[in-house]
Amino acid sequence: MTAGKKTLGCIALASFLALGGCASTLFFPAKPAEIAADSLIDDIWRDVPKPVAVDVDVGGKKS
Amino acid sequence: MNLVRIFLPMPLLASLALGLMAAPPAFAQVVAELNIGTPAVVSLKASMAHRFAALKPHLDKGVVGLTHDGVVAMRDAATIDIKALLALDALIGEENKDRATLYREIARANGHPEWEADLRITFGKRWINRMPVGWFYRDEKGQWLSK
Repeated sequence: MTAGKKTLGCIALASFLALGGCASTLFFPAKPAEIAADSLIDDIWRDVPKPVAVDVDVGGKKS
Repeated sequence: MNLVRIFLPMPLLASLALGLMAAPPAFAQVVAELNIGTPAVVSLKASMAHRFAALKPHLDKGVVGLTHDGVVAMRDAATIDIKALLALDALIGEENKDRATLYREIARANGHPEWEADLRITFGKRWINRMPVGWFYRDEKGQWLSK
C-alpha cells in the first residue's frame, strides 16, 4: 500500500467517524421540539382556547 | 493514470456517503421525543401557569406582547400608572427568567445544552402560533404586529 493510499484511508476513516459521531449534535430535532412546546404551552395556557390553523410570519420564513 | 485519479478518491467518497447514511439513525434515535418531564421543567411549568393568570389581562389589552425569540415584553405602557407599571415590569422579568430557565433545562435534560438557542426560537414560534387572535407579537424586525 502506498503512502498516498494510507493517507486517503485515514482521511476516509476520520470522515466516517466525524460524520457519524457528530450526527446527534448537527441536527436540532425541530418537530419533536414543536410537539414538546405545544404540550407545555397547553399546560401553561390552560384557559386559552386552541387556535385554528393560522400561519404567522414572525420574520423570515412562515411558521 | 486517469483511472488512478478516478478511483483513488473512491474510499473517501464511500466513507463520506456511509457517514451520511449513518447519521439519520443516530439522529432519529435522539429526536424521537424530547424529555419535558423533569422535576425542574414540571416546577417551571407550574410557576408559569400560576403567573399566567396575572399576565393574561395585560396580554388581552395589548400592554404586553410575545416576542419571536420566546419571551414576553412590554408593548404599550401608556394606559397604566407608574405603580402598576413597576409591578408589571417585575412580572415580566419573572416570566422571562422562568422561560430562559425552561429552554436551558429542556436542552440540558435532553443531553444537548447547545440546543438552547434553537429551543428558544421554536418556543417563540409556537407561543405566537397558539396565542389568541388580538394579542400582539414582536417579529424579528422589532415590529409589533397583531394576530
